[in-house]
Amino acid sequence: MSLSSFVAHFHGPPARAEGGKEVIRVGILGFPNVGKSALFNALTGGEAKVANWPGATVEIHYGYAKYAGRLIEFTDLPGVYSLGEGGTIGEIVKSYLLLQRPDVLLVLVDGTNVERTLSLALQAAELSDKVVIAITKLDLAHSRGIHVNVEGLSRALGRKVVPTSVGWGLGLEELMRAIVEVHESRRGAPLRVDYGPLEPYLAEISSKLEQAELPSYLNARWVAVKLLERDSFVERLVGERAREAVEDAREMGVEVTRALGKEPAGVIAEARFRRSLSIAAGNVARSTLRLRRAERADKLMLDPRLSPLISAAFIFALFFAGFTVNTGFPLNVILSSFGFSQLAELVDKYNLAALMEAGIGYAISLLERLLEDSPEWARSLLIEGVVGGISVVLLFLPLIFTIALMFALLEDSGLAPRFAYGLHPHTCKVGLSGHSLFPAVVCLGCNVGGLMAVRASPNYAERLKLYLLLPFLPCQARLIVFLALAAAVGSLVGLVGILVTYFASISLVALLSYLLDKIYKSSRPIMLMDIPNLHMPLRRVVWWMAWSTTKHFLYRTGSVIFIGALLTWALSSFTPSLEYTSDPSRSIAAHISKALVPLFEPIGIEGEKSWMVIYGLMAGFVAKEIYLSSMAVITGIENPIEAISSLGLSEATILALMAFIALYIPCLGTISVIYTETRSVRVALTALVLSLLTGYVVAVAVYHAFSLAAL
Amino acid sequence: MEARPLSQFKEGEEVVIRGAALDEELRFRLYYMGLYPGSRVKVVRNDGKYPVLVEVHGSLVAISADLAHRVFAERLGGEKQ
Repeated sequence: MSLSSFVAHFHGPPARAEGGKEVIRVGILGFPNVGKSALFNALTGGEAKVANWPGATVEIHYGYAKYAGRLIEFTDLPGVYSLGEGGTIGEIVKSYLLLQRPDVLLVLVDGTNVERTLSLALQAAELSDKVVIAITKLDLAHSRGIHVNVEGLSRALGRKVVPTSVGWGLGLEELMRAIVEVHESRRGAPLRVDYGPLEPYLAEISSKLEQAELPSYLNARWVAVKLLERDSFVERLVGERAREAVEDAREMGVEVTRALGKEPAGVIAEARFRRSLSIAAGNVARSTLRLRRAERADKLMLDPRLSPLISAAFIFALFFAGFTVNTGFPLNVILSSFGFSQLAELVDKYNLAALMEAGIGYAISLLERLLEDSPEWARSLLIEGVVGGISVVLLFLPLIFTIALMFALLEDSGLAPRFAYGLHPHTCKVGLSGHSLFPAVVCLGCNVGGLMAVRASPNYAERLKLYLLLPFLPCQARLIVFLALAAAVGSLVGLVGILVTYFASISLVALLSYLLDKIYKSSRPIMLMDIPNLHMPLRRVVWWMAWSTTKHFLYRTGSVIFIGALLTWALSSFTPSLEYTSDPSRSIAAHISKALVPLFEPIGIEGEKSWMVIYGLMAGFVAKEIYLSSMAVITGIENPIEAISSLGLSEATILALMAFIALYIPCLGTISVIYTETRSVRVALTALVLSLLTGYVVAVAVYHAFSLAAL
Repeated sequence: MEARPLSQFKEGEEVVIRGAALDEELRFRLYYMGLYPGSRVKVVRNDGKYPVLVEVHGSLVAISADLAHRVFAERLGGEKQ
């Protein structure tokens, strides 16, 4: 993506807030796991807004704080190890720093590991004098016997250093005071790191750059280091004004590699880390403490024999607990299959979704009474269209919140990377990284929640793959339809059909993923990540992360679902001449279904009532549960199982339908969440078409296989 | 002493990173994480198919086996652990 389109696409915070108040714009920079979210949350009081880089599936939070009559705007940048990092994340961070240009840069240094994380603060100080450094996690550092000499660090870096702890609520005021002071201070000099054997080259490039009249915020030495490091972003940034310097730097890079046997990027990283290590050596003291409980637990978590078991058990336990509270599934199925049908009924009745549904049902009955005198179309629009659409979104909410909460707990505690480590060699066999088991398991309950958890995978190509493939995993709503179809076909064949469907869907995901892995190298599951220390998650941070995800779902995905639900209502409530009808068989949807009948003949759907099957499939696009209720409405038979039986479908056709329902796009919510997470209509449409085609091909194959077997 | 793939070192061995046969984006990321040529790291766990765990300047880093085959290092000092 070009630089200008990057800037044009950043729907970020406004440059100046309203009310004429002065705004100090602050970018928060730090390593991954340095405690950025926690500090950002504490500074902004949890009131964050989301900015997006389209197509990048990267969200950037920003929020405000007031201090001493100033408004401070904090932008929480994605975690990076260096400003030299490439890829989408690196480009985003650099375009914020160099094109959007914050007034002050707040760099976070991990109080439990100063020596390594200080390297990024050095880079920031080399770029600019308007830098404040926060030492994070002071509470954890303290409990580990680590003592940081703040004044010494500040002297060594020539920048203000503020010790902080979100857990203790320490250092927040001081941080804001430091930001205001640095903002209002006179300009100082950038920090100078000694790059040893590269110095003569840097001097030459710098002098060329000084003649090129670069903008004043770029100091020539910093740019020279970046050019020698082959930073393509900086090359593009200064390319027009300083083409010669860029080309010279490239040639020098080749020369350096030949002369030193190391490329400049490596030499530069080494020089920076040496400087951070020596600064830390003089200013950080460690007293040895005995192994803490967390570290003993860690020995188990990182043991190759135990780790995959512990990880999988943990993920399945979370899945089981979270879903049972929300929907009753899978506890209800287990209870009833062991003969405890009364207990199963209790679980079915007293779960969040059932209680909400009861509430919505009550609201609808009230509304019906209120609207008794209004015309039929208005009643239908309000109750079936608007309230129906809203309730689809509302019913998702508690589940999304629960999944977001689990996700935040895993991420913030440091458990998520440990699970990924333990599962990686096993998931790799089907071309997925260890990050993918959690979203995949959640998908067995609900595809919408599972796809929201896909963010856990750090690799963009893998995330794309998961968005396309995971919707093939049958969720609980599809199970309900399977059970009804199974009952319609007779219980034994039906039950075997359900088991085969589950087995086949999971195998299909594994197979497709494996094949994609063989074809596209970019989605190959690699793992290169920090494993942060295990620690008790901060309640406030976890809560905020879960709430912010839920809010995001409600506003963005929710509105797409709502609009889709309204459209579907319109299709089934109006005739092709746009008159309102309460008879679905006269609706636009019925006409479309009838037109589509020939397409479904290969799975044996024929005869007078054949279009009803297709009508049901169309209704099932909104949510699979609706498939059953729509079959009841369209056939006029209240019991959905009898409704399906009344269509006179053969066993082979019902089994083919089961395969189709297992594979075609599970619901409007799934498509909406793929779109809102990727911000790409193309990806969402690809998922839709892929699922329809796969479902169709498999359904035809199932039909023919069973028709042959029946002969 | 000759550089060998990181995946061949045993737990507890201390090594010096020499380089990586990876594409530029990954190779540079490795440098920025602290695994630059000349960096001293300690192999904390290496069980073949599992990601190799190394301690880099006080942090634990996981490197999947396929990457660890293409990162080269030399053992630090003479004696075996």
